[in-house]
Amino acid sequence: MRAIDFSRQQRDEACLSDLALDRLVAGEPADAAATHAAGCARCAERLAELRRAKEADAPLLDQIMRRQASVVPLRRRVWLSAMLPLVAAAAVFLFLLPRFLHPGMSEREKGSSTLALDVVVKHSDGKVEALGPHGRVRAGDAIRFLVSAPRAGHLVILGLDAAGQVSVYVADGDDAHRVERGAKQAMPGSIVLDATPGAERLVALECEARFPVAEAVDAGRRSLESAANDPRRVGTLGLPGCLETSLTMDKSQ
Amino acid sequence: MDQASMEALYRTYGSMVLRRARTLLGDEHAAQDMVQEVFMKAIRAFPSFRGESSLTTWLYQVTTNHCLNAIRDGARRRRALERRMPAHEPVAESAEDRVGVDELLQQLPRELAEVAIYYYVDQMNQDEIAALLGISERTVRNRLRDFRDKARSKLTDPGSEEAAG
Repeated sequence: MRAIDFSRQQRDEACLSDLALDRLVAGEPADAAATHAAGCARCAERLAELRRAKEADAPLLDQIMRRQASVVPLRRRVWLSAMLPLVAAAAVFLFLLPRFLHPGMSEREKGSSTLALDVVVKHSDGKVEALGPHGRVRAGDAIRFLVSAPRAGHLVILGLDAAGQVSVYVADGDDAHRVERGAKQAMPGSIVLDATPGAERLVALECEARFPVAEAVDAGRRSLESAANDPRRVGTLGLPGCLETSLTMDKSQ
Repeated sequence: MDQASMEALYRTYGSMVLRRARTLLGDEHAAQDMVQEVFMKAIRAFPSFRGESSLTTWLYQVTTNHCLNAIRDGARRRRALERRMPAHEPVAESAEDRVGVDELLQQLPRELAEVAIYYYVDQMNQDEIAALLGISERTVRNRLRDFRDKARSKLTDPGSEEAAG
């Protein structure tokens, strides 16, 4: 997938580095580089290559951006930024967590007819574990979701917290996230928990038809209000035709 | 930062961050996660960004640092996996692909790995690297020389770093 030649540089000494070319692609002031690129076939070719890559990556980057914007609400984004060193170390780690915790999890669970939600938490001290019911987490811990779905459909995972907030953790922009039938499917992205203390109810909803996230958020908000903002007392959200599962975690600062 | 500014940031610099993360991490999923993390930092820092260096330059450094963190964390994880799993099971889909590059970037001192990335991956001049890192060109030259020496000894004696470390 990648090849880095650590034995020599690939460009002529007179040519521009990728940094200089990336500055041109970004439209930053770089007159000398622009002049060079205009008169150097090799740099012009590399510049065109980077511009083509930028065009080609645009749809994927839109998806990544939407995922970031929808999965991480603003107040959590702020906290996420503050906790960035923890997040950085977690990225590749969390990608491989399913194998780490459940070596056989790529196999489908046969006969299961219920939606199941597993939460893997990486504590800020680096310890990784599966979160049990009423599991304890702290601000700054990173969590990731594994979903076992008995059918293909569309899924949203919400967090209903003790401050009366409903956060969207898994979705695809304004719509639910497409999932396939299968066990322990890792959902995109990871969440670093903010400093809101107390219980938080994590609710997964899977419907056969695509549905707007707002519908699930409204149902979550109603359910939380009817439980006097106590996540432990929240009942099912009850979207028609949808499978639902939840678990509660207890968060301290 | 509002939604429009965030979109502009992604569209202007996202491909660059993604390309470098793909090269350094060698894994598409990890690279996409890395884009999110780098931009989280950018979104937070943007209001106080004073333009003393270009945003491209700054994002290069953030991406390099975060990727090195991820690669080094990956090494710790793989060692844990190797202890937990039977020897015949692969520990990661791309483990074999990654050994050469990862071993160098994980096991050599961070300041050497960083300079090597800018020099060999980003094809930067020594003076560009010196300006980026705020060190002298002489230090860059020395680090590149140390990197080459250590990389050569890794290739001829792959166990030397681990045995020593």
